[in-house]
Amino acid sequence: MKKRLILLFLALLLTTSLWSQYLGIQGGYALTNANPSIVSEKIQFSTKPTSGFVVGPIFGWNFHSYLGFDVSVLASMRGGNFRISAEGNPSDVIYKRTLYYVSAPLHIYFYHQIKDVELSIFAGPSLNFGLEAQDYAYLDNEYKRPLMDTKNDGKEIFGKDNYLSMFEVAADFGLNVKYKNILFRTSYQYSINNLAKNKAYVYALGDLVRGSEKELYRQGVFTLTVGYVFDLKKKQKTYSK
Amino acid sequence: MKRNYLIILFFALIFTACKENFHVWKDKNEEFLQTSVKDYGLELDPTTEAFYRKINFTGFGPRPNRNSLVIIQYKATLADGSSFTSIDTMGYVINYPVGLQNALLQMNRESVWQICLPHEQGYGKSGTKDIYGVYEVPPFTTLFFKELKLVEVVQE
Repeated sequence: MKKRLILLFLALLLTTSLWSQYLGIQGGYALTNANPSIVSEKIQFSTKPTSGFVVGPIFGWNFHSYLGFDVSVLASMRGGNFRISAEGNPSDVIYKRTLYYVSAPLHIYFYHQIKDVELSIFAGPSLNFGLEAQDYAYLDNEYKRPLMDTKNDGKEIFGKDNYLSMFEVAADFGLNVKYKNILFRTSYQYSINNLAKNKAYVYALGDLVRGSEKELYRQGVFTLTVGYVFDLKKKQKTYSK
Repeated sequence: MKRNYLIILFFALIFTACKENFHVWKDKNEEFLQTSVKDYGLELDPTTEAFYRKINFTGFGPRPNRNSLVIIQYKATLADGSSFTSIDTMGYVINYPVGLQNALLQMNRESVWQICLPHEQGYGKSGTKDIYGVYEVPPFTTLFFKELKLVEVVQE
């Protein structure tokens, strides 16, 4: 079975090498909108988009006259900026979260070639692995009294006994424009699994909400990237000469 | 030349953007230290020159040492107006913040002082946290003990 799969893969590689493959690097801006919630009428969340970045290599493969797939390995910085208003608390709590991920989005795309421009729409899953995170929370009053700062305390956020799940599966989709060797891409991804673990953000709210309420944390990330890619097929032609 | 200015501007922006998390709280606490010293007429402790004090009453009992077990009463206030009081708390002198230790070492039993501790003499850059990881005393906090009484030196 394993041999057959390898043979099938090699066959696919040989036949599809007629179509272009490319390898390159991309990087750009990431805008994260955290979506925290808690099943409690006492607590209200309001969020603010936060800037970050994304960078990493990309491999693309047009394996059909209008179909292709690409895979990337991306390092990214995301943010989470939200306000928590709790009934009975005189001051709101501001939460500032910084998250560092390594992501592997895998896309299937439909493309259309117009002279040197290749337009495509893509969709697929993204497997994200949390490397490091920092939480800073404070009371939103004149004094900005700190409530927690994991960077200062050296506390881990990702992990089994901590606030957030290390693994994230997200749905990713977007648009791609490839002009010669330049790649312009815009995409949006949203968490499929709940990232909040026990007490993801209610620690900072005081005894009022330290109950057993179900917590949710998902994030939507909009990215705008520019890349430079090398056409692998062209290289093969050069070698054959 | 223009490029150099841009590089300087870029690093200046990064530097200002990376200001530490606690800067507002830290500034407010430094301000609180100055106003408390002025408003309550506190003076720099001549022995340590590290905190401010005012002696309201001097007792006649024994003085503790760092390993003594003592009973104290206090009313403390933080910069944001929050306060905590303690009535007859028993503890070893060595387990208190360094400024409080230094004050207690100079107090006779029954003495009542007012002391104001800059954060270096209190809980410093780390602060103290409850079991949930939330700060009880945040980093860079000035502690103002409006009333500190050494009730008893249980074990010298």
